[in-house]
Amino acid sequence: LCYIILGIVTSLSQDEAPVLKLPNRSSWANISFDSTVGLQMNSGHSVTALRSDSPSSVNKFAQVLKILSVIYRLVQSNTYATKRDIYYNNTQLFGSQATVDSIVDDISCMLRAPRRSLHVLATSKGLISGDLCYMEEDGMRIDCRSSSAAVPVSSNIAGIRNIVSSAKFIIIVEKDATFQRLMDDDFCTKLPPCVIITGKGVPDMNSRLMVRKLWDTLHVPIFALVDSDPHGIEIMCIYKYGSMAMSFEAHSLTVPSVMWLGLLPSDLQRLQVPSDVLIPLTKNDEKKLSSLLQRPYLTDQPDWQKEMEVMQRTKVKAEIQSLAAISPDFLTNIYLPNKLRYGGWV
Amino acid sequence: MKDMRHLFPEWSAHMEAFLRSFSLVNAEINIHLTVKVDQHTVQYAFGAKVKKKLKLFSPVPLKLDVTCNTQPAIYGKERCWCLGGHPVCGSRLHVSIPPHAMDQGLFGDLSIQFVTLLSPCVLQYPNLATHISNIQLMVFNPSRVPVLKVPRFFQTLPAFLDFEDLGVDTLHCSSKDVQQLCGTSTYTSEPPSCSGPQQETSAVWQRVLVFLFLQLTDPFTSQLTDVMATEVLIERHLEDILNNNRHAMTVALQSELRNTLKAHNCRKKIKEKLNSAAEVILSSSISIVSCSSNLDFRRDCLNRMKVRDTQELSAAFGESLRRVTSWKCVPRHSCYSAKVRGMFAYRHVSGLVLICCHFHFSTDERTFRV
Repeated sequence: LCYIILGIVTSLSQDEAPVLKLPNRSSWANISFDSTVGLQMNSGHSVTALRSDSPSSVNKFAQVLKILSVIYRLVQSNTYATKRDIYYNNTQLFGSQATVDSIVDDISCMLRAPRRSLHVLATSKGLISGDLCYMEEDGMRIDCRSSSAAVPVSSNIAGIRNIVSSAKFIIIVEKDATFQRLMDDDFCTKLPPCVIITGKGVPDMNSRLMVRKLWDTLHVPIFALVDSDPHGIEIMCIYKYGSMAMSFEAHSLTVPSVMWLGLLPSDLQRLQVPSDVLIPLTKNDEKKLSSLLQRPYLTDQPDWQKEMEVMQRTKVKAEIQSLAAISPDFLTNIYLPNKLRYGGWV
Repeated sequence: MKDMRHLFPEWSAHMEAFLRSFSLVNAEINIHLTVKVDQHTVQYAFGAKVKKKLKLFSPVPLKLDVTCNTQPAIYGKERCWCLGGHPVCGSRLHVSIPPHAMDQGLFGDLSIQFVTLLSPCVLQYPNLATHISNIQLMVFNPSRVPVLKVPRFFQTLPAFLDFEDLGVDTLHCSSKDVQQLCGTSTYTSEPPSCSGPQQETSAVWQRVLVFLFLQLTDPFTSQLTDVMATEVLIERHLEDILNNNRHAMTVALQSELRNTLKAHNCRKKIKEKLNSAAEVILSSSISIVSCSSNLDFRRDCLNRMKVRDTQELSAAFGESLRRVTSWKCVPRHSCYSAKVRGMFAYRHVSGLVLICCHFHFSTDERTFRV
């Protein structure tokens, strides 16, 4: 961080406008795929230049400097702040929470330091339940075995220790609604011990870090239960292969061994899900599906490709909730147990 | 150059203004003036260093003298500076001829072609702050000769212009500020009040020149004598013509000025954005340096800026940042660029002092001697 400031001072001493160079996290040209890691940023990645003398970039230049100064103080004083704290510290400068979130990730990428080491925390949105106990960094013991209430995913994954679990598998659930349904049906107690976790849609970093931590600690199969639509498949790919935006931290965020349990496009035909609960693909769905099929990681997954081609051919999508049209408890009493028992995953 | 105004004070300023205005819009003509008063002989020359051709609604293209000798206070190193201007051909306003002018023999299709020029050109310095020093309106008859008598219409015009809409809220105009000299009306502004350290020491004062070219199309007027007589009529009735078309004139001028000052107003917004960001950049950077426990880092920062402590660093950092961002140069092929070396000086070459009793005009095509 000192080098960045020294660079700015040096530019000014030479009568030149300071420029900040941020790695370009949104270009596919900067990403490569490794089957053991997932999507990761190339070492020779392109950068975006923020010039202090350009009206189009000077605001972002100032925002980056401001957050750098906040981070510096946090690290110096060994205190922590959330991204929300940073935003509310100067809402006029930042404009929106999304701006702060993006810049914190940019700084993390630029300094090649995980966000936690910048002393910036993110509020977790994920939930976890099942056969799992662990201790937080502050010594608080967390027991996820309650059948009535799920536990919020910790905001300090790196500080978790003493993980105890006899789970035989872990299920990543795309949606909170599905997660709650499994909770209501006591899913974790009916089958062999397991852990279920949800990021409530596109997962935040802590949810992804938690899944990775469980994989590193427990080495049990990890399944994904997502809607049979392009959005659900993309969310599943984020857990498995990572995202473009966070590719610089792929090693700590991805779990390449994740398997697709359901809802598979082929399940819709096989189970004869009623057509009135099937939804036609929109133009955006078709575009996203085509884009997913061209992603570098799918060449390694011919079975996933086949499923996606089924979806392309039938031109329909379905939510997991559509299984309730067969019978109300079909998901937890028949579908999932049979899938897990007879290897119905790809 | 000898100042001869003390010999013939009354008409010298008018003569100078006339020749200057004439030369501005007839840049293809070089004017050599020799003044002989008793034993004293002084020679002057009016000519354009930088010319720009414009095609108006006229068979003869307009050649404007867009030379600009203004140089700003430039700090330090050699910089590109545009020594010319970029006139913009504006709208053409058709005006009606009042009945009593028609009774006197003034017929035809009369119009006013607007041409505007913002000078000096700072297009190569998109972040440089500008202030508007004055707005000059210059009226020319169809032969492109400056109208000698400026209509009173222009004295009252400021009252009808919406300066807030133009974004020149520091431009105060009253009749006493309106200088009228040989076809030129000048509305001057008050200098902006100092507002702290951000007040731009590198700001450039610009003036707006609005050329109003009267044009008459009359198929029954072709002989030179008829043309000259018609132009006399136009000048004689110019006040009435303008008053007869007051609303249209005001709207047209407002529109021309708004278009011309759009760039100036954009600069104001850019400057505000850059200044606001600079404050954050300065405070954040100095905050990191000040609370750093890394002595090498602090020493390096102080040494590079050639200061002794963080207080001096803050001042030097801020000044340097404002300077490099203000003087960001984006060269343009269309500018008449020359390298100028900076001094802490503001030089404006104003007009010549002359007293005329002997004219010598020469052009590429013909020579006039008066």
